[in-house]
Amino acid sequence: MDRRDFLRSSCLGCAGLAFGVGVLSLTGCASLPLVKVVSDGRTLSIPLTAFAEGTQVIARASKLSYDVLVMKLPNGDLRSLYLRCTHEDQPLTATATGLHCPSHGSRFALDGSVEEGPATKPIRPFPVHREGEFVIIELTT
Amino acid sequence: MRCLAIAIALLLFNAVQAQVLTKEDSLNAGLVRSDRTTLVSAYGEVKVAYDQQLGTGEANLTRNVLFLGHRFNSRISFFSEMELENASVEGGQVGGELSMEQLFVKFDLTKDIYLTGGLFITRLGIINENHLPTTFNGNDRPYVEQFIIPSTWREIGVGLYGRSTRLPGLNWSVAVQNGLNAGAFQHGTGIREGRGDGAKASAANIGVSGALLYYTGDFRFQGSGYYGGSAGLSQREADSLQLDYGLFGTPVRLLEANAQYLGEKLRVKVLATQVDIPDAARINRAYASNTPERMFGAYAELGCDLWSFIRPTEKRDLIAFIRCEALDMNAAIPANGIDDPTLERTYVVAGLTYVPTVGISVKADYTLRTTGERNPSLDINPYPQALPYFTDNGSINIGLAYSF
Repeated sequence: MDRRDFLRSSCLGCAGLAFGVGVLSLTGCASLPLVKVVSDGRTLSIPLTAFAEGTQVIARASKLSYDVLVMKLPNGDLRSLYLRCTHEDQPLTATATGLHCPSHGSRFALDGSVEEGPATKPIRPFPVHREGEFVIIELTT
Repeated sequence: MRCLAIAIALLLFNAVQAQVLTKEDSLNAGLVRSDRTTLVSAYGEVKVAYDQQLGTGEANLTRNVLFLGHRFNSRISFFSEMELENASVEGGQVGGELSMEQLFVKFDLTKDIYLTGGLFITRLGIINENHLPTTFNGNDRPYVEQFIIPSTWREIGVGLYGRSTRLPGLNWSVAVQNGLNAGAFQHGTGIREGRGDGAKASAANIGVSGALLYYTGDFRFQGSGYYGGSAGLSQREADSLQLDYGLFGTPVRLLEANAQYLGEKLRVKVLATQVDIPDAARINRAYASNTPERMFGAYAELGCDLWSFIRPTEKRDLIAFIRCEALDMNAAIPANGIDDPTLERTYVVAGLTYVPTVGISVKADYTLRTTGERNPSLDINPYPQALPYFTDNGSINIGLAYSF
């Protein structure tokens, strides 16, 4: 095999690997439900029924510039994170295992800590508690 | 002196007016009323490289970039990056470069759709958009993303980006920008020198790009493409050079796909890309630049965080990595082109990246570059005047990168 054939084979191999892994992954992907909620500017109220199909919900309120990820933890506690990257305020994409900034590649763990830069500051969780059949998120930190 | 004093006074006045805040302050400024915030940050890298074959070394402050952003209100923001390469710029001297890497305004149309206008970087490959030196292993950006995808590739135009609500994790982007300049293409650098960089670039031809990016679990997948004209000439000039005139005249096409696995201990990246220039023969006839019809490249990188084995509870990284790259900048050449085997290259880069805290990376790597033999037809100064060419060469690189 000459050099050019080797280079071509390498490139095709990488492309094939990327495509194959992608297809395999997509078949098992789990999406996070989006719930539209009303906010009074200080709190968000999310019905507990929103967690019927999973432990993570993305809450969207017209008064907020970014969405809020709300999680039910294995011990029953609740956690919520504002989906805004602390690097350049870009919106974050949430998956079942972490938060990703599509613009610059920052990654955050589901507790808000930075997994990979360029972001250097963690995302601070909002105080969150349960009131009857609702999860209440306090937006003022 | 008087001008300097006035400038300082203006700066101080502006600082008071704008109330420059750190990102932390921005976070604390309130969520609903987080408008009118000015952000400052920076990134850069410095490197010392030792060339094995030549026995020489080079110490260079590769770049320092100052970021300035401002949020006018909850829906309109300004972003800019000013980059100084190679430490200094002196009048009349060969050396550094001062340039705007980005300068654009972003409009939040909805929570899922954003509009940008100005000088911005399109989503092509990994490094073009995520080019901060703390985000990649090795002292140099992957070579495929320098020579085939000419990172950082920024042009003036309008872009839309956003995400799908039907399929969470799916992000998309499209952009229309000014096109390339085939008259500036240079042998050995692909389409790199044809970028406009926002500096009086021709807008008579345009480039259209688009990308799909999907996150699921610890995986990230992306496919992107570009199609644009490269003859930003008047019809008379184009006719006289026998080049196709128009928005997409004398086209350049780029396709790319990449995938990443971003696990806690293991990280994998693969990328493949190809550039086609179907009118390369016409470009060569007009400009004698030995432009190829096709270029392609690919790389795969494996990284392992050793620190997660040594002290799993500590928030720091020690990544051992190896990256293999293969590229060919004259994979296909037109009848009036000259084959250059030195542009068929492989690179193997292996090293360590130590991250004591997020935002700082200390890097050490060894890079082995292998190419084909030099084509004597391309020697301007043949033997014995020609400098020796080494088909195999290694370099030892040590560097420091930061971003905040």
